[in-house]
Amino acid sequence: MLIPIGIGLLRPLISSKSRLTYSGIFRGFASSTSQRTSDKQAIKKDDEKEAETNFGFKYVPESMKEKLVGQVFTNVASKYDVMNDAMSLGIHRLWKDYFIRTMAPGPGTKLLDVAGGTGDITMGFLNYCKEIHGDTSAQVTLLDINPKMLDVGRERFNKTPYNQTSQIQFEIGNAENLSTISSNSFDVYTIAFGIRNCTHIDRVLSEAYRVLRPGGRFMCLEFGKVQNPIISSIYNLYSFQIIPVLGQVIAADRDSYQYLVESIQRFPSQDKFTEMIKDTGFTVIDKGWEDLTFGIAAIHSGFKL
Amino acid sequence: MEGLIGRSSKIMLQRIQTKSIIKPNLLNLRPHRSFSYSVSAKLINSNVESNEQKETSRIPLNLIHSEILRASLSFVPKYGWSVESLSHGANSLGYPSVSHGLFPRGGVELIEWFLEDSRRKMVNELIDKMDGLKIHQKIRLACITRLNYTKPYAKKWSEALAIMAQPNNVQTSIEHLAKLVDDMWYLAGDKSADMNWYTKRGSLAVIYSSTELYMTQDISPDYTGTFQFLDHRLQDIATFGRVVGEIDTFVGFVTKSLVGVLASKGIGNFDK
Repeated sequence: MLIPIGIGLLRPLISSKSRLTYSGIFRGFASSTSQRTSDKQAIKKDDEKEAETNFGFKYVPESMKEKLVGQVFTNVASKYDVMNDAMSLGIHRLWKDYFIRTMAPGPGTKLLDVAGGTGDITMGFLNYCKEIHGDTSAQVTLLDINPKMLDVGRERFNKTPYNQTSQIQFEIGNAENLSTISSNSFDVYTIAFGIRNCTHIDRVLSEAYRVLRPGGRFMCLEFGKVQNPIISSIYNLYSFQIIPVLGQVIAADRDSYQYLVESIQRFPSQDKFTEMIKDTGFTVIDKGWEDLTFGIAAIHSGFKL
Repeated sequence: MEGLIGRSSKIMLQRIQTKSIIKPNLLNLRPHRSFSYSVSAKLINSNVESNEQKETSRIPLNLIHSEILRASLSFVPKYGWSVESLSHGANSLGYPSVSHGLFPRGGVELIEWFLEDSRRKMVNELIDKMDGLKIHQKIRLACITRLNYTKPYAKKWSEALAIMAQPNNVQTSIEHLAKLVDDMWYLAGDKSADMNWYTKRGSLAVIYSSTELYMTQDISPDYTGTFQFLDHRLQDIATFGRVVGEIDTFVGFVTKSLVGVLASKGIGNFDK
């Protein structure tokens, strides 16, 4: 029921002035491939090349998704924090605070914050270590694929006392291929609201498994599916009617936030994602996830043991 | 209550296992530490077997849990029954401190494991030592053995009692106490099959828990005060038990005569 509504909302977007050019790219690609015809091998190659994945409610070739997501985040980077507060009415701060408290890191913990972007988790983690343990030996590597988001993060940390310490490293990297990170080197791996933007979730999970030490913890904060039907209908109404409008008003970019709410719908449900985590080899305790705010967000956790 | 009876039969099985060392393969003896406990049944996911084949883990999962918990016990006198003890325990084994997340309920999981582990240790230690003693001596020996395991943590035991008294944890703490007194009576050779089964366990539960409570504030050298307290309570029960039995009989006679008086007046149901 939601897909027709989503597409119904999309149609005016495609025809209107759009900052993103994905629709143009998509049509161009499709028209070029339709020209290859008879050769069987060429057709097979076409099928391989055109392995598609979801970009919101659209389907795009896998190789394009990274670029398109990159465009989205480059556009929203400067207003990312403001929009988070506006869209979630500040509740995302509570989620992230609870996330850090669940992690409850001890002194000297090494964190790899993937898709860390503007650094909410990193900030929370360092503050927790300082306030609860009086510890300044905790280390964080903040990794993000998008240089613009990293820049915003860097500026933010420059205004805090942490810029004089060597506790944070900023790195550009792809979560699917952490080539700059050696194996068995981190205590905790976190990815907050980032994994649904990745093209190959299983590769992200395998890389997470690789870089963690034995006993290390994988933690993922992500949007989930709401089970309660009343809350679910209110939430969907809010997501599809209000959030893109907020995006237009505050950040002048409706399409990026349309992508955001669509990508939430496309992400696997909590139990399916937990299965993927288990399949990678992580040890999962009890249910494996914890719902926040009726399942709007969920904390997934796995251990490398 | 069926679980308690099942527990008695499991002790019998353990007794058979420890005695027939000659044929280990037939009885599928497992190493002492990797005994299954009810918590691990929930924790192990279906992929444990494939996990074992991954390069990092040759050790079964419940063994890692037990190891971390055992290592955490040595930190309890300093940090109490809390997540800090678990973090330090994990650290001491080379795991990062965030491994305490393996125990999502925190300190209470450490307490529950300690209770389970102590109970099994008590059973294994006493299985062969009960010969030639009278019943009340056996009970006394069982209580003393079990109290000795709490001794190193006596200063922090009141914290554990407070945690166990929380509404979330009350049910499991009562279960642990029930299993403990059941095992003690089974070791003492209790064969009762009537109301006595319940009264014996109830009274022993009261004795044992009050003694443990006494221990938390005992400052006598080597807890001699605690063991004296235990002896006094056991003597009380011995006299009291007899008195209760007599009162029981008396009340029975009174009730029967009352029923008879009423019947003579025509009140009550008559079987015809």
